[in-house]
Amino acid sequence: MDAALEVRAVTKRYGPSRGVEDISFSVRRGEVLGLLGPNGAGKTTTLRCITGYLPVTAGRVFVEGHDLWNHPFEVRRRIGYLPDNPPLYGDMTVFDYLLFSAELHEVPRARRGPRIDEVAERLQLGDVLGRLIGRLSRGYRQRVGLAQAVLHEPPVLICDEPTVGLDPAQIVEMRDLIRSFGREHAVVFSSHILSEVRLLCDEVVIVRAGKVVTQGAPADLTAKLHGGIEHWLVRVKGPEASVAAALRGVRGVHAVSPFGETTPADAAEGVCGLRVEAAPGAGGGELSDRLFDALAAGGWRARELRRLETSLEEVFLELTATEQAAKRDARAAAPRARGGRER
Amino acid sequence: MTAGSLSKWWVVARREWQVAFQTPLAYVLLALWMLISGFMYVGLLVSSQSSDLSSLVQNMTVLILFMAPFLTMRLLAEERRTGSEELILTSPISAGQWVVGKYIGALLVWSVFVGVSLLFPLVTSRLGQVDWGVIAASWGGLWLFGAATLAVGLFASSLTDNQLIAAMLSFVIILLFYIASWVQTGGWVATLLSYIDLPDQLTSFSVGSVAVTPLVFFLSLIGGFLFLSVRSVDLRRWT
Repeated sequence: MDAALEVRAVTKRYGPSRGVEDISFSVRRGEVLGLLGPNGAGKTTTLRCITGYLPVTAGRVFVEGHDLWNHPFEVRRRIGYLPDNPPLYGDMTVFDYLLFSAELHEVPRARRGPRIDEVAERLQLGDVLGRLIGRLSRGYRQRVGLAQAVLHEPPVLICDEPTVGLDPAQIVEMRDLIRSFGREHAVVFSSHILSEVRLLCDEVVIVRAGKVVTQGAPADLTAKLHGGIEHWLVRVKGPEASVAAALRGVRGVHAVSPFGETTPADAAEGVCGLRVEAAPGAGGGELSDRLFDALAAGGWRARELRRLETSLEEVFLELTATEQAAKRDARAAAPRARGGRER
Repeated sequence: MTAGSLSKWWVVARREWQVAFQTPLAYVLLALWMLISGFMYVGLLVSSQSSDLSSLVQNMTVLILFMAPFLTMRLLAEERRTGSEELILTSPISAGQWVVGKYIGALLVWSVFVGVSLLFPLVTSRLGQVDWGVIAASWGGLWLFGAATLAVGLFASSLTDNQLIAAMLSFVIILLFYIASWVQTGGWVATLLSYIDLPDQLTSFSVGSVAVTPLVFFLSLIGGFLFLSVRSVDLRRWT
């Protein structure tokens, strides 16, 4: 059993339409897995099932070979968990809280002090150890929550949207921490920010409406999702229609469409932006040569010619859009008050 | 398994104890407890001129009715509201250990209340003769009485994430126990109800006798409500 965490066909149903369906993945120590999806996609539910906070309806969770269902404590001992809302006691000092967590997680007595010092230093909590948690800022609270999760050196670390609500500097810090913990632990974290997932993860699981849409290495996903179609951006001074027609004639090009909105500055100069879709394997260098030649032949001056790497981003946006559309439809079809509770 | 897992409830209880005396709540309640029971004590002393404190103990049980909900309302409801229960329920600690730890923590705080109120017999012993055996029995009964109401309060706190609702709920349940014997319909219902009447059960303690029936009654009340609390914490996750 080389995977530290193995999630096998986990399903959690509550209510008629909520929950998650058939989610599977595995993570090794030293790997970071990102659970990516729009809000309400079931990320938190999935993580809660893994940590045992919510019982699964079906499926299995294994941590270092221990089955969550049959040996919940063996699994809980091996998981560190930072929920979306850090589980803190505002009326305790940081030190007392960490000591309490260490005791709960069975850190041996002699190790507790040194471990707290170690973790506090790594998370830069040294100067707030004596402060009441309730008086700390959001960034500190998040770090205290993370400290609690790694205190007992669990093989598996689960973080639910660890960067939400932080300021930009804190987000960068938190990402660095996750990356560095990812070298020692098997890390699973959820996010709705694609760039974050791409930055940190060895594997991505994209969920939508409780189902896995796709999963794999970030680079592979890009290729897989769009069948390897390449996207290029061409910004050029010239009439949009004729430029587009010329580019369509280039070998390997599938389609040409306007690239988003034209900025006022571009419009004033008569510069248009076009998105070019090219067949898989149309050849990077070669294709750009051909595009360039086509522009030169028409006498148009290129301002920008580059390959777009954002297709995962687009896919994600597409998914989000479809989901929102589906939601709107559902709401229109069945207008009724949302019952039930969050948990 | 290890010594650590045996004492998990103690980790929880100790935290409760620490927090109780780090925040003003316990001090405020303790001050009110001593203020009102002191008032009762002085009133009794002046009016009866006697060293018999049994009626004081009876009066203090009424005070408990009002205080116990405040001592217990936070216990589980707050953890649920703030999300800190997510740490507990994903740690290697069982719902039973958690609930018992919470209960023991509250019980320790309550013991301080009872301990401080021993001031009254102490003062009386300066003024006249005090039968310390009777005092031990009646204050023991008082402690046990409070312990039972704390178990009720803990259960109420396990049902909601709203502390106010938890407090009102425990107040109502305890009040029902108070007035249980008021229903004088006769027959087995009345017999049953008279058994669960809290102040009645305490009467024997306050005159210095420790009978088996009330002892069993209070202990099973505590056990029953602790059990319900554990079930409530466990079950909530399945729904």
